[in-house]
Amino acid sequence: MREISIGELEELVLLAVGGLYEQGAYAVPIHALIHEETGRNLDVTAVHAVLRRLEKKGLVMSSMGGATAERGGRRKRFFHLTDAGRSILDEIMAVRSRLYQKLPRLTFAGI
Amino acid sequence: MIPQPPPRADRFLEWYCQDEFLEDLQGDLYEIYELKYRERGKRKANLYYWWLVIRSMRYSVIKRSNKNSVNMTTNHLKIAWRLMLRHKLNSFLNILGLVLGITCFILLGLYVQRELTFDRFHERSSDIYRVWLKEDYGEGQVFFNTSTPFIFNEFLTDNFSQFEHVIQYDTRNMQVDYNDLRFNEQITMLGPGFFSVFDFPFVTNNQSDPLFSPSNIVLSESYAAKYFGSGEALGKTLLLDMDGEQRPFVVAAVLEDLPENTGFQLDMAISMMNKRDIYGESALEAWFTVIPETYVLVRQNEDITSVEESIQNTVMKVLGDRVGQGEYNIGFQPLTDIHLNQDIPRGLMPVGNKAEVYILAAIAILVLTIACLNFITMSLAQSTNRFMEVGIRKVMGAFQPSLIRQHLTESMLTVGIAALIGVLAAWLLMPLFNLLTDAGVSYTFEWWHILVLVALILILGVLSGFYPGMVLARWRTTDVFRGKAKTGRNLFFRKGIVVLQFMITAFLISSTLIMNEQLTYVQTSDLGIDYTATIEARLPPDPTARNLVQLFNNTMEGSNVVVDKLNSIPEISDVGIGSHAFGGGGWTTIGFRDNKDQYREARLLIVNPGYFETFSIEMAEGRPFIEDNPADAAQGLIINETAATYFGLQDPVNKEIPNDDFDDHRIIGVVKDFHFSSMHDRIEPLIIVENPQIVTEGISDIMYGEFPAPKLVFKYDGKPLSRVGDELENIWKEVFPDQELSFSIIEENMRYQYAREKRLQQMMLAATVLSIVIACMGLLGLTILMVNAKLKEISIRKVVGASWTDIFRSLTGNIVIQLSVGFVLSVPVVYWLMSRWLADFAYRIDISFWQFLVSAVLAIGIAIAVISYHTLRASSHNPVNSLRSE
Repeated sequence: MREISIGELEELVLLAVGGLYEQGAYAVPIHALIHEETGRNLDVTAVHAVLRRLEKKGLVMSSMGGATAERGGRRKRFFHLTDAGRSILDEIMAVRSRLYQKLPRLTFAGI
Repeated sequence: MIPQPPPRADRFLEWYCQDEFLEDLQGDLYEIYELKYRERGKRKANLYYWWLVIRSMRYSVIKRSNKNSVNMTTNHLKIAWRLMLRHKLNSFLNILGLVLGITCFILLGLYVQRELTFDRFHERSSDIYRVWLKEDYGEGQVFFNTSTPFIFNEFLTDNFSQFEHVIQYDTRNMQVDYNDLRFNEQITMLGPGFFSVFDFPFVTNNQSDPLFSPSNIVLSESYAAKYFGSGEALGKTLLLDMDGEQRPFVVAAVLEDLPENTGFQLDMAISMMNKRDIYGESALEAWFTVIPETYVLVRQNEDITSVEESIQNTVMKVLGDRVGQGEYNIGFQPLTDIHLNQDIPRGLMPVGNKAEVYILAAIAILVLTIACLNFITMSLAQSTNRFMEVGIRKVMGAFQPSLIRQHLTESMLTVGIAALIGVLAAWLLMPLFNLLTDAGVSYTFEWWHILVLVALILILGVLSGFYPGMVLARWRTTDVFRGKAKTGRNLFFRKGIVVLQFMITAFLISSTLIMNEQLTYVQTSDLGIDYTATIEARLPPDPTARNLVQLFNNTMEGSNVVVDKLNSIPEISDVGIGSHAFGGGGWTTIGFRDNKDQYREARLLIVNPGYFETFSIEMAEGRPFIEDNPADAAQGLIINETAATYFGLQDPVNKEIPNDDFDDHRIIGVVKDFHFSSMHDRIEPLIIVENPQIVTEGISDIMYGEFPAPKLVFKYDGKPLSRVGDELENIWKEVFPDQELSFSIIEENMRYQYAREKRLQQMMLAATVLSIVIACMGLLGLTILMVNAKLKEISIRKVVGASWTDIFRSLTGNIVIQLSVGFVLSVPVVYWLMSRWLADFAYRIDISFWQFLVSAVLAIGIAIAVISYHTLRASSHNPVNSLRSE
């Protein structure tokens, strides 16, 4: 059993943080990615809230980027997965695929 | 250019957000804002930015200092709630007082709102004007009307390009037949285009403008139901009786029932294109006969002043050979001004009383103020029980603002609860309110009402919480613990509030008393006539008559059968016929130039001899008309005392009215003055004839209030009075089988003359009772607290020998002084306002010392009764009980 449990949205955000590692993961692209992949209409403030929660749980770490002329000169806060974050994703994935394997293959034929 | 998000939103974000999170959060929001800005434009982006800023307000990012205030507010609410539960009686009185105040405020407010928004709901109401005509030939020969000649329609359309539409509007009673249903209805005639100027929504309508066909009729929803039940009304045919001819009209549209705040009558409307058939050819061309009202819609980029400046010249071009410069004046009154402007003749639109509306608005605010003041005094008085709490809060580090905020939270809570109950109560009481005051108030929900309610709660909460909070917060901590804070500067303020509160109550009591007395006076004073149990029934007019004289002579001749029938009924007596009865519209006025070329105006009444007996009209000199006297019927003329003076006739009997243009006539008698209009107006000169031919030749002008069609008048001593309807119904079936019966009871009509004043009085009365109740609750609460605080003092006084009367006096003396001051202050206000209200009546009572005395005794009496119970209990209380505990 895991000590920390995470919800579905948290899982999505966590995955997005991992997936955006190369480009730099901050709230705006995370939000865009989730919207693109799931079609969900979140707003960015929900992503902010989730990121703060994940950081508190120690699943992501954040660091401020350098200042640019864009966005009124405000710096970005980039998020990275921590080891704990990475392992929790692995664990979720493993549980899911184990369960998935157990689905009988021809279930739909009968209906 | 880089788009800038709304600075206010930014500042708000910066205010609540912790610095640690601010930078990147704000950056993210900027980024999204820019994106949105490019995609959807500035407005959408700004709105969205606000939304995001508000949505970002999560507990995790809020500054700690703000968090503290959130926490403290929860704590304050908790404490307030507990206090409320602990002092159940006081909280109950507080909330009840506020509820009464708020309920009263809402109900009166709705009425005031209705009166102030008359016909303002039309989209272009500010571009619509009603035309008036003022003919001024000097020497008081002035005819000021909002009814206009028909020709204005063509005149205004042809000569002024500034008008988008010219619409005429008139109403007339006609008989309506549908299968076996037959009613006498008020039919409205509307110029085509009416519905594009005024916004009255249709339920169903099968053409672009139903008024462009002369054989269409438009019904209101409830009238469609009246004739056709739940069935389809469109396409059905109604028969309208026009001058004895029944003409078919097809229902072309059904209107939604009109709102309460419009002056128009549109239950059954047909097109003005029928005017030739209804009014006759000559009326359409006349410049000096006024019938319909005329409305104009000014084009969007035009201004009415340009018309006003040039219209006199245009008039002179057309009428220059018939009138002099400045004699024939046309003017324009804004549509929105009609309902509350009493200086312009009322025409067909109902006109309210501006003073009445303002009085009611003031009362609404006053009652609410009383409730509010009550709440303040109670909070102040209760605060003395809370030294310990305040002291400890101070010791724990609460600052003044925090303590004030605590008090504000508490008062907001109380006011909030009271407001919700008050709204509910107002909603529930609305039918009762309408029933009692006949105010016709209705309520439709609109979103901004919620804003008003919230604003009301905030304002009342702040008003009533701020001062007590400040007083509490200013106490010095050490004083609090030493118990020194009890007495303080707030005493003066508190007394002031009691005085103010009582002043308002006394004002309401005195005003109501005076109004009451005036209304009793006008309704019970001797009018010079006897109208008890008298019935008025319209005789079916002779359709072939071409003028007033024929109408009267023919109808009188044809009335013998019905008069005989009436006389054969034992309960009916004193049958008479006359052109006017009492309590209805105004009597006919005639104007003429006398032998000295002086312009004269008098009222005209056409009667048969029976009329005098029906109303027991008394003679001052001479005799009344006598039955079957051909000389009377042809040449007899009777005037009233006022007319005798007006025409300068001494011993008028056997003389003539000084106008040689009248037919041969002889004054056979003078009646004692009697009131034929309401007590608002002076008695005017009156001419009574049997034969209207005498005067019709010699007059230059005739003005109708109510149309002088012959009416039967008679006494009926059957009970109940309304049973007369069945009797008449039977007679009508025999004598006039095709005619609808229309009758009324004169006593009811008379009462109706003062309906407006009656309504105001009823509302005043309700407000007065409420304010007395509220003020008494305040006094009660105050005395309870005062007595409790002084219990030890009272006991010690008793121990050292004070009698209970001494103590009673010491406890109530102060309050009685405050009450008296409040009362005295109210006197000038009452005097001033009531004099203005009374000025509306030509016959009125004087405001006297006695009315004030009665109201003083009443008010102070009630107040003392309220405070005595507790003070008496305290003064008869055994000192041991409160002294032994220490």
